[in-house]
Amino acid sequence: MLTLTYSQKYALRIAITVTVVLIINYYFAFTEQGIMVATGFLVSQTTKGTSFRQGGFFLLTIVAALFVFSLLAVFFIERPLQLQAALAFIFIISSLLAWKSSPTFNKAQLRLLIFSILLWIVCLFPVHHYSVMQNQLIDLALGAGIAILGKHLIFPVKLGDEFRHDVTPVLRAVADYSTALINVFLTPHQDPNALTQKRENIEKILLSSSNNFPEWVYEVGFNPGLRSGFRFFLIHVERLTELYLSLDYLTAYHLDTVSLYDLIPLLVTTLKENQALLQEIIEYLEKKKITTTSAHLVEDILALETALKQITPTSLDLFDLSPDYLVLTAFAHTQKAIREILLQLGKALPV
Amino acid sequence: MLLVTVTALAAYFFLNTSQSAWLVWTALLLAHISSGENLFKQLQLIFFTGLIAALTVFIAGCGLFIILLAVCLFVFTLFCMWVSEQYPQYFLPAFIINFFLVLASSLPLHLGANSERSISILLGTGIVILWQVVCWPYSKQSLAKRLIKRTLLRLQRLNQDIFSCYLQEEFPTQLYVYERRLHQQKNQVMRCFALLQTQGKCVTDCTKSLAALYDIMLGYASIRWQETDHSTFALCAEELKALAKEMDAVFQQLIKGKDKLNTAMLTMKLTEFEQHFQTVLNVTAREPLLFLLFIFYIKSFITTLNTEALTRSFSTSGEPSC
Repeated sequence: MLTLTYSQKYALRIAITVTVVLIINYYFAFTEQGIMVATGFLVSQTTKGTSFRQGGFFLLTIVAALFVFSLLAVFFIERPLQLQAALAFIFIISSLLAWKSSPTFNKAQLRLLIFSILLWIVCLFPVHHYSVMQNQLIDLALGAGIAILGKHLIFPVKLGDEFRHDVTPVLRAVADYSTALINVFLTPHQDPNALTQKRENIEKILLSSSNNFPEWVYEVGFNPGLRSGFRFFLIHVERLTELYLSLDYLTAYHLDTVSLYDLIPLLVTTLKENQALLQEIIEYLEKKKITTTSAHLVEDILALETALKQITPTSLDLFDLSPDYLVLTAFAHTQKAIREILLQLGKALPV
Repeated sequence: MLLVTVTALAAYFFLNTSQSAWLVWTALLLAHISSGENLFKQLQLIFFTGLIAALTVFIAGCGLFIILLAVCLFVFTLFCMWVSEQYPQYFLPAFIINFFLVLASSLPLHLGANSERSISILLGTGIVILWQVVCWPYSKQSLAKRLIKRTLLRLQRLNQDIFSCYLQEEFPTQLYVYERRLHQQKNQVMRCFALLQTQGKCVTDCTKSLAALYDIMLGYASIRWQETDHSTFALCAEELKALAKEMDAVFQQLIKGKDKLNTAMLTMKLTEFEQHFQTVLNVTAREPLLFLLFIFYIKSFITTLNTEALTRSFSTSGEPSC
């Protein structure tokens, strides 16, 4: 059986929706204009799980644009250059807002530009009479309604599967980073760029523009039934990445090797245990079954803490005199926090 | 952007045809396209987007029979939407082509006007290419410095949001609001890093220092949830506020490009926090070690701020030599 990727389903859904709207517009539109097609196309650009809320937002923006343009037209209808200049001015202002929010253009930025783009669309389909505006509003509602329906009926998104699919790359990148980190301890003279590359890979995936991170879970209007569970999981995944990235600074710190020598095997054991847990979570997300169960959930952490206590100063005040021990403590503490997060993520998985 | 707009409006005025509005809007939309790499790649991307848009608009706008038009719209939309989803860096070019196609399919014209529309799109593309070439030397020189400042601004905002997690009482109850805000700020910082990496070796040292600052910030940010009793932060709220204010001031110094970075006040506030830790937090906090690590991270923050690579890059006299 032919299986389609999300990108293919997404493209097919929008293509079918726009084509259906075009045909309906051709035979049943209330106006002779094609504003329904443009509305259908724009409303179909919503993120996963938010079609009603975002679709409604797009529709309201189009209606607002229609009214604003009608007002602009009263002043500028006989002066097309001034009208274009006014529209361009509004566009530049929204571009500045979009640029302030992010220096690279992505889908989220589109919502900031949408009003000014819509003003131009309305300008292409001018209204000369109140009854035409009424018919335009009906066409707009039809276009938006078909687009929202299309989102639910054509290749409906299974949010659970999509979430699993989208969250796995970041966990896999973190697991790769963890492997590189273990290698840093085992082979101290290895290429320092290996860790940097793995780190950059995590950052690349975390970037919303990469489409590899389920940022859509944070969107306003996301499915209320699934919201809390998905957000809980995602927040913990983000905390996990924060902890691993913060290790980058600690790893780069030049420690006194003698003090570190006794701790290396324990640190590596903890790192390996954490990685094993992480791998189990990834396996579950990919295959929906737990393949192995890690036997040591806390023992290695306790051993690390005990060893650390033996070599670090007993009084907290003395830490100030020995920054190396603080780095070690921070490293061990981060490992412990990673373990806590992984266990919470493991507990959150549906059995 | 302003130059492109003014030129496009001037062209609109002088051409004065029924389809000139397409020229203005092509120019305005294409001006947003950025490959983030070299000039040639950027021009290529703009040129091909304009060319494909002009061609598809011509095909869709020449009054095709409805079935033919539907097939044409279906095929192009399928392709453009697949590209925008599969290769997010090409979202804008794919969106522009698809959007123009949708509009043209709703506005069929006779051959003359339809050709005029496609020519207007090509002219708009030409205006953007022209200004890209003219402004490139200036934008290339200042881009690295602007990006560094932007990264700093984003780091400053991230820092403010981290401290607001400690200081706002509603953090545990409004967890998702605060976590989303942090997610967005982190995203912005990483986007800036991704852009900085395209700037070559001239900013490598500085990027490394900025990345170290970011890592340190992530280190102390995790205390927001590791401290299980959020009311503990209320015990040191004044000290935390003072620290946040001084860190803000240091970021401002860097953004403004002060020749000599002054971290004395920040160090003083940290000493006050340490004293407070010794007398209050060490006794009352459930996990005093967390606050000890917080102090360690802030000290590392100050040390990283004072690294030569960072201070040299931001000083007004130290322009990155790309």
